[in-house]
Amino acid sequence: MNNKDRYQRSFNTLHLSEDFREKCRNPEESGKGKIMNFRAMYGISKLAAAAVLAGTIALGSAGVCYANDIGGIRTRIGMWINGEKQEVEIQQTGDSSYAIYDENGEETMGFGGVSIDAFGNEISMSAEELVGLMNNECHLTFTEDGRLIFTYKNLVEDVTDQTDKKGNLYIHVSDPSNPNTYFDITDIQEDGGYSTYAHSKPTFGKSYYEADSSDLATEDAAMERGDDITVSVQAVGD
Amino acid sequence: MTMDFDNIYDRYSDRLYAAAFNICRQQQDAEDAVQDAFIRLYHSRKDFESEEHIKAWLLRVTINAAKSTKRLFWNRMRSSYEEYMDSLVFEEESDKDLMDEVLKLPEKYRIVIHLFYFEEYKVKEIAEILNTSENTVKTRLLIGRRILKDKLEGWEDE
Repeated sequence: MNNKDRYQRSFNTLHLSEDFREKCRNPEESGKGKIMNFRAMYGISKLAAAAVLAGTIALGSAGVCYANDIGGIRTRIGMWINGEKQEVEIQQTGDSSYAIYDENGEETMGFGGVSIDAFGNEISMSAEELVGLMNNECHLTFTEDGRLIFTYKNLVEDVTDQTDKKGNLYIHVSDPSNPNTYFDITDIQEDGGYSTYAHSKPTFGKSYYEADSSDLATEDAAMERGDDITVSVQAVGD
Repeated sequence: MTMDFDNIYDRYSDRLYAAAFNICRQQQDAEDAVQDAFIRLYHSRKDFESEEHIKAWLLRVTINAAKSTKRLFWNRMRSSYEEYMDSLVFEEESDKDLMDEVLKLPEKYRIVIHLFYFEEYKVKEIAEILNTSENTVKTRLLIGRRILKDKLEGWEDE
């Protein structure tokens, strides 16, 4: 068997998943309503996210403070951090990237994202859109004594004993305001890193731990949409 | 030419997925890249000369979509590579080793290797799909092969 045959036999193992194959078969349907925001991607820079999750940074809700050397528009948005609702100030730092500032005007965290339209074009997402998405995400905190704390909005739960044999977590939250509440948390690293994927349905073959959602905050639709935000414009230069 | 979308989809969706996975190394991102390509094809008013022309166009669009997805620093790894690889059923254990080693190559080498060995394109055709020079393709093919020869048992000299 030559190199080409070996290569083809190996890569012929790859197939689209059946669900996806059928969904994608009719582009008119699969693209419907997706001319914009076909898929949203976003994330938080790992280091900054780890710092926030560790609770080492106090994000201020006090008065508006601006660093003199930074221009642009700052937006105040409500955000879930460590299970608490906080107001943070956000400023755009690039086409699709943003920074969060604390009350001293110090940058504490960065994030960014784009949506991709039906034609594959990248569309910048606003801070409000991104924070709206992030507010519907779960987070994992690593305590000093090695416990794993799951956080979703105001829901905080020790899930150390819920990992499967491979050390992954599969958690479901009952939140009628969010269609994607089956969380797969994988690649959990000792340095605090992990990957999450939120689905509307459980992943086949996985058993999900049911988080206690009885006291889950559900009044935050306005906050997640970024309503009632205040926008301040800072003078740039002279 | 008249395009039979269903037929094109059935014939090429898995091939495009293999190319996208070669770049993304991630199932969902690779699937999204394939979907992007077919949505573009569906809306395209391009006058394709032949089915081979459609295939090359789809490959180019899929590869570009996969690269854009990967380039985004905030893109989140949405499922574990190891878990996905474990779920694949390879005919021989050596097939998994081969895929593993190919996917460890730097992207610029592995996509050239893929188009050469999997799609059986010639250097000139690969250069057109990737919008680069033939010399660049030759160099990348050479280096990619050398690395694979070092890493893989039974990989032949060419």
